[in-house]
Amino acid sequence: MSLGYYDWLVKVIVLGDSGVGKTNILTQFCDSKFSQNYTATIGVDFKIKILNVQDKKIKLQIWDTAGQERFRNITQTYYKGAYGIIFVYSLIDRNSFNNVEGWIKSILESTTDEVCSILVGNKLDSQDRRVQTAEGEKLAQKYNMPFIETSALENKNIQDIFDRLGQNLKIRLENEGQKVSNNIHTQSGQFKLNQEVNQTEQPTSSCNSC
Amino acid sequence: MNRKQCKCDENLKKDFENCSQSIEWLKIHYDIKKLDNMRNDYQQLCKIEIADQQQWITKQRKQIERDLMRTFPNEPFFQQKEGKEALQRLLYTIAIYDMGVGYVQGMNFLAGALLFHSEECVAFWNYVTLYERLQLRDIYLENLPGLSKHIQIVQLLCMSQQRKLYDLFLKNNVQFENFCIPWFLSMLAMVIPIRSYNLVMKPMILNRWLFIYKLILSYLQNCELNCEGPELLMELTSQTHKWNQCIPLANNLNLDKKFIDLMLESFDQDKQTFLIK
Repeated sequence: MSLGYYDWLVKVIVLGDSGVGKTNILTQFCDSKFSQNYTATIGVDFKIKILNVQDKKIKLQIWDTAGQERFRNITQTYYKGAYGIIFVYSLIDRNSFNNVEGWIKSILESTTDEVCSILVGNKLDSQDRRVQTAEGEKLAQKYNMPFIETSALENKNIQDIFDRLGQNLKIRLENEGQKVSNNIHTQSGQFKLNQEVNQTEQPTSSCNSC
Repeated sequence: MNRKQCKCDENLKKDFENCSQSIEWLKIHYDIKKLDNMRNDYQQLCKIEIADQQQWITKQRKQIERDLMRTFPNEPFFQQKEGKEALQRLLYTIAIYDMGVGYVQGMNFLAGALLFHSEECVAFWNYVTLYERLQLRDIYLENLPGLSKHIQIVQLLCMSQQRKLYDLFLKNNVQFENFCIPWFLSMLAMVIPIRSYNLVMKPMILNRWLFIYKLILSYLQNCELNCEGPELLMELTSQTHKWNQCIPLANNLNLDKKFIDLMLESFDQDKQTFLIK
């Protein structure tokens, strides 16, 4: 098995308000560091990481988006082909929590594809909490997705975001039986779901509940 | 005394606040003898508080505040109190200058690059020159119509001039909006090294979009793309050191100015497409 081998290639996008820590979560996950010196994300940025889920390797192409409201429309063009979505709010920014439901709804409205989502409350390291754990849990339950509180600064629960997402992605990908070896690049980045199979066998968002 | 920021001039005898080139840019549109008046005007704008727009102002200030630390984080100038506060005032003034647009992320890099080469007031008026001459309003406006326009033009130019590269993008499902957006929103200030930004400022003011398209095409041409699949996008956005080399090459590139002008004029902002009569 070569070093670059993977079983599936999957597009994941990270959504949430400006300044909640999207980029820092990704830097911690992909490069194992927290950088005080990080640059604001303008438009979109990318990271790639291979995630091991049991016996499978899932190659994640992660799209890090800009949170400012003005960019909402372009961010929506990135939804296409996404298999996984990480919704992020900041535990110390009440507004970002209030807005995260808007981000979830924007996904529900714009894509008919089923996606594996996870809700993340970041900045667990701060003493100045403005959003209670129960509130995050309740919202995640409403939309049938797992929930986790993290600290990118202290590298707390960051790996867990991707492990939990990865498990759901794996179940979903296996259900579809759509294997893509790394020899086939024609479908890279943008996966079209097999809609017919989906509609007959998985009428509801099975992935989100798993 | 030396300039702490850019080192564009070796022996500045006076006016340590500005590098000589930033004054050259200013002269393109303004009478340099009136610099004192321009300073006053800037100071006035800086302090404006609009009573019935408090909510709007708070929103602008918050976003600016969030981005201060994240603008050129590796440049000590922007991490010190003095530089940070100057950038904060400059960005607020920029937001006030065109309230219909306000502060949009990306402006912080453009304004920061200008501030690195000059005092606040000069940076502001140079920003205004660029903003007006290149109609930057369009790229930052709600729904970002200008962004779509310029991306489509670059795409078209790439298709007609660099067919092989265009086909490579197509084959790998790499879309232009996936890599061009930060370039336009920061007017290349995110990719051109801040010490070299002086090299693009003058041609941008004088030759407007023609120069920017040339520079982007030149970069695309000189990018070494060896990967396929998702890594291609990474390669395309990570070779920032190439931009510097491409600045002198850009002018050798042949683009039809008339055609570009026609495209720019015939863009329908609502439909976000070109309507050539």
